[in-house]
Amino acid sequence: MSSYPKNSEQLDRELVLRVQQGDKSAFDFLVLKYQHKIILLVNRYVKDLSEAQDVAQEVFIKAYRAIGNFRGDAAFYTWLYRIAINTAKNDLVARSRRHSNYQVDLQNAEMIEHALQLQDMDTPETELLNQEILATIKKAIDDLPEDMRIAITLCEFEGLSYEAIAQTMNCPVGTVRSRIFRAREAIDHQLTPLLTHGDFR
Amino acid sequence: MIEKISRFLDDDLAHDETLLLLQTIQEQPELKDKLKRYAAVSHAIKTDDFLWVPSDFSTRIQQSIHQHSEDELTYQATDNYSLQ
Repeated sequence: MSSYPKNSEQLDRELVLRVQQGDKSAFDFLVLKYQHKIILLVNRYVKDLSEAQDVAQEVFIKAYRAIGNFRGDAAFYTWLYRIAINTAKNDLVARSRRHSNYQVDLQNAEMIEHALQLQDMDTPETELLNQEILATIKKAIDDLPEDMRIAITLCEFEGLSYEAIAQTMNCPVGTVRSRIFRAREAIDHQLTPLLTHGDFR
Repeated sequence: MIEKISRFLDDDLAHDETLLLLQTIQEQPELKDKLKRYAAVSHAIKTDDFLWVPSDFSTRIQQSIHQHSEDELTYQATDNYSLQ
């Protein structure tokens, strides 16, 4: 795993080159690879997950449109990161302007009441579901056999590489891979029934 | 293949394996869903916040890109025509 950043950048360069040569599916791979990171990054600015997803889509579309100019002086993710930060900041400015106009429009008491009702819609249910999901994940981890629980904890909480986990647990790297995979499968098994809710499609 | 998704999340796959995995994931929606769930759980464990990427996230990007390419082709065709 220590060689991964080099591998990852090499993979990105190859995917970018393919996109530049007209292979759109290569860009899908880049989206798949970075969608979570970009949504999380944007969400740090906009503080609204639904808005963050819209902005993140805009980030990828901007990146696609500009990818012909990407020369590989920086890593692809560094380049994408900059686009994401700029897009998120622009979105904040645009929202702030919209909000100012909205405040002026909201002189009517009925509209204020309606707006508050809309704000309150679906939030408690979603929040409750999120709490249930987090509790399920926590319980699934607690219920894991010790070797799997330690492996997934070192991987996710401590961010250790598979090699480092293997040294810590005094076992082969292949065993670490297997333990982490089985831990994820066990958590996934507990979680999947909760994700049938419409918000998770 | 699913174990490779787990390794992909942890940056443990070699270059060629990653390419093959991504190709396979594109062709098999159930593997894409698995990646989404693994990634969401990984994020939840680290941050105590469950982040779910909607199924149509990448589809909407693809549609926009496709539209952009069509517009570009139309523009180029018009441009070429006007040069003649």
